[in-house]
Amino acid sequence: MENTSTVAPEQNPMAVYMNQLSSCEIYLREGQYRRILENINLSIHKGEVWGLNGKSLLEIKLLLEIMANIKPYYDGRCVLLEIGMMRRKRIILPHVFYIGTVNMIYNNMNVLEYLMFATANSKIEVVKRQKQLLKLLIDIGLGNISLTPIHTLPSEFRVIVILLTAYFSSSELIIFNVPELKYNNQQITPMKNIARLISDSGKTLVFSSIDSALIQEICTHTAYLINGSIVFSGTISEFCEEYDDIILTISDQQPYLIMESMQKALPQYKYKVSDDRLIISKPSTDSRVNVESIYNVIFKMGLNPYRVRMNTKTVKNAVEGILRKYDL
Amino acid sequence: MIYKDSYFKKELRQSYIQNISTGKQYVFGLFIGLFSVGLHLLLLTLTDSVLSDAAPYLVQRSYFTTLYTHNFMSLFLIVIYIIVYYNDLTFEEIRRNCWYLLCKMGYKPVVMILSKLMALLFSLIAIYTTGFITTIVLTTLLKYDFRYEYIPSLYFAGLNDLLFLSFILLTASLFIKKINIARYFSLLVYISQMVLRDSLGFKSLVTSRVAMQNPINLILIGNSLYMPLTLIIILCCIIICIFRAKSIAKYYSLPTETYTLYNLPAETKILKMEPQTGKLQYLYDAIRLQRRTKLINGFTSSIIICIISFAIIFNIFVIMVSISKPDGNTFTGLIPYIFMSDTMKPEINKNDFVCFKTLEDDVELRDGQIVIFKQGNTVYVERIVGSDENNYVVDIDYYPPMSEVGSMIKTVSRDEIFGIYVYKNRWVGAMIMVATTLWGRIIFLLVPILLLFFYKPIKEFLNKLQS
Repeated sequence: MENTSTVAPEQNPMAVYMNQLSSCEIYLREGQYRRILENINLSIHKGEVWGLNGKSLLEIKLLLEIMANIKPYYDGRCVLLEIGMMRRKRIILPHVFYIGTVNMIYNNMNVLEYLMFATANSKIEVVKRQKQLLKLLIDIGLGNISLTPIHTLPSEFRVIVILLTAYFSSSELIIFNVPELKYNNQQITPMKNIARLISDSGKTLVFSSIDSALIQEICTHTAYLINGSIVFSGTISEFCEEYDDIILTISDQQPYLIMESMQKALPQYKYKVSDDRLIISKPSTDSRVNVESIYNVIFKMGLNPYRVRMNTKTVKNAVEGILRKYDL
Repeated sequence: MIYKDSYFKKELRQSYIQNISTGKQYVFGLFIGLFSVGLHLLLLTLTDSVLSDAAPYLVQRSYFTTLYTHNFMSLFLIVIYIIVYYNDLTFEEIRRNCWYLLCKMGYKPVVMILSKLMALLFSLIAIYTTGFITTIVLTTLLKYDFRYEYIPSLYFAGLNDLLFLSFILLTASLFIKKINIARYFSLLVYISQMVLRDSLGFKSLVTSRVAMQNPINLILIGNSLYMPLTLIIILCCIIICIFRAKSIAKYYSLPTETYTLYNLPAETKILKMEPQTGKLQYLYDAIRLQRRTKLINGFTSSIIICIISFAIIFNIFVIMVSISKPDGNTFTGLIPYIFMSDTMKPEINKNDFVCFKTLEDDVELRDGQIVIFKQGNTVYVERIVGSDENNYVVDIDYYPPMSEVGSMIKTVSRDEIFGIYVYKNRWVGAMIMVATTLWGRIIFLLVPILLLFFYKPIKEFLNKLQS
C-alpha cells in the first residue's frame, strides 16, 4: 500500500505491445465478412494510464480481452510486459489483473470488510491494515461508501472497489474492461485517484470506456477504434489537439443572426448552433486557424455577443471530431 | 470493529445477503422442523384415505412418522435452498471469477476448496440437526409414545441423503456453466435420488421400524446397496471437487456473451474462426436469439397457464362434488361422491371418490351391482344380493366389528334406486380431502389467484432466470 515514484512514463519499458493483430471473431452483415479487429498496432509503456475508446463497445471489449490473454487472436503479435502470450488462453497470467465483470466481488460484505478480506494475506497487522484501508478509502473519495453493503451499491461503485483491490495486488498490468458502465462525477473522482495510485506505483492501467469525461479525467493516453482498427493512439493532449476542431463558442440570444453574418465574412469556417450557442469549427482537422481574424470580424461587424469563449480542448469534442472525419 | 474473517467464516454466512448471520442457518433448521410437523398434521387428515395404504408410515401418530416426514421435507427444502442460493453455496463463485480475484490476492485454491467443503458440511449438519431436534421437541407436544431406538438410524439416513445430494450438486457446479441449467439439474438429481432410494430398496429399509432400530442395518449391503453406494459417491465427489476446482480456479471464466448489450445492427451475425483449423462457428445470431426468446416466453406462459387452469378446473370440480345432490338429476348423467364410510370395503374404501351413473328406465339391474338409493331422507350405497321382480335385496360388503351382520339388509324398489356405481379413484378422493382443508384452500385457491394477479412479474422473474 506504500506509494513508489517512478521515472517518466515514456522512458519506461513496454507493458503492452500489439503488432498487426487481428481477431478470430468475424462480423457477418448482408453476406459480407469482416474481422471485428483488424491490423491492430498498439504500444503501451509501464506507468501509463490508457483509455481505449471507440464507436463499438464490442470492439473495445474484445481488444482488451485479447490483451488480457482471455481470448485467442487470429494473426499478429501480442506481448505483455515483454513476456510472450501463453498458448493456453484464459489462464491467469501472474503479471496481469483483469477486471471484466462486476460479479467478481462478494456481495454480502461491506466495502471495508471486503477489502480486509481481499488483503487478508498481507503481512500488515490487522488493526493497522484496517486503519490504513479506511484512511485510503476516505482519501480517494470512497469514505461515504466504506461501510455500505456491496449488494446495495451500483455496478459502477462495485467495479471501482475491484479496481482498488487490483491496486493492492502484485500484478503490474491492470486491465479494466467494463465499457458498458457510465460514471458520474462522484464516481470519476475516486477512479481518478485510484488511477493515480496505480500509475505512481509503476503499474499500468488500461481500461475500455466510451465515457469521454472519464478518459479526459483519468488517462494519460488514449486510443480510438473505428471499424475494428485503431485510428488514433497517443496522449490525451495529442488526441484533443488533432481532433477537437472547435475554435470558439459564441453565446447570444440570437445565434442564428450572428451565424449569418459570420458565414458571409468568414466562409472558410464551419458554423453550428446548439443551445443558444454558435460553435465555430475548423473546416478540417489539419487546416490552419486565425483566431484573431474571427475576433476582428465580430468587433468590426458590431455583433456584440453576450459571451465569446475560446474552446478548451476536450476528449468529448475530439471524439465528435474523429467521428465527423470518418463520416460516422 | 475489526474485520478479520477467514474464507471459512465467509463461507458459513455466505447465503444471507440481507442480514448476515451464521445464526440464520439455525433459524432455517427450526423452520424445517416446524414445517415438517405442520405437514405431519396435514397428512393426519388423510388417515382414512388411499394414503394409509400407499404410505402408511406418513399417517401414523408416532415419532417415527414425524421424523421421517422431517427427513423428507429437509431434503426437499434444502434442494430449494441450494437452488435459490446457488451462486453462493456452490462453486459457481469460481465461474463468476470471485476466486480469480482472490488468487490474485494470494489465496491458495486448495485451501479455499477445503474450506468451502468443510463449511458446507458444517452448515448442512447444523441446519439438519436443528430441524431434527425441533421435530422431536414438537412431537413431544403431540404426546406420542417416545421410542428412541430408531432415532439414530433416522438421523443418519436423513443426513446421508442430504450430503449425497449436496455434494453431487456441488460437484456438478464445477461442470455446468449455465446457471439455469444447473437449477434444472438440481431438480433432476433430487428426483433421481428418490428413484434410486426406491429401486435399491432403501425406502423400504428406512420405513421399516424393525430394521431402523439398529443403525448398522443402514450400511449392510444385504439390506440395501444405497447407503454404501452414496458414501462412495460422496467420497468421489470430494476428490473430483478438489482436482477440478483447483484446475478451473486458474482460469478466468468468460461470462456468457451478452452481445445484446452492444446495440449491434439488426441481422448482424458474429462468427469465430478457429486459428488452427479455420473452422467457423456462430457466436451470435440476432434472429435465432429472438426465436429462442419467443420459445422460452411461450413455454413459461404455457406452464403458468397450465397451473392456473388445473387449479381452476380442480376447484370447480371440488365445488361440483360438494354441491351435487344424490338424487340422480345431474346434467352429466353422473353422480360424483366422496364415500365417507367403510361399509363397501374392499370395493370402495373410505374417502374414495366414486361416480354413479344415473339409472335409465331401460337399464336392467343385476345381482352384484353396487347401487345408490334413497329411503326416507337417507341415501344408501349397497350391493344387490337378490331380486324379486321390481324389488331388490341389497346389503353392505363390510360389517365393522361389534356390529350385527345382516342388519343392513334392505329391500328396495326400483323407483328408489337412482344410480349404479361405475367408477372410483382413490387419489382424487385424497386430493379433494386435501383441497377442503386450510392448506388445501391455500394451495388450490390462493396459488392460482396469486399467479393470475402477479402473472407479469412472475414471468419476468422466470425470464430473468433463463437469461
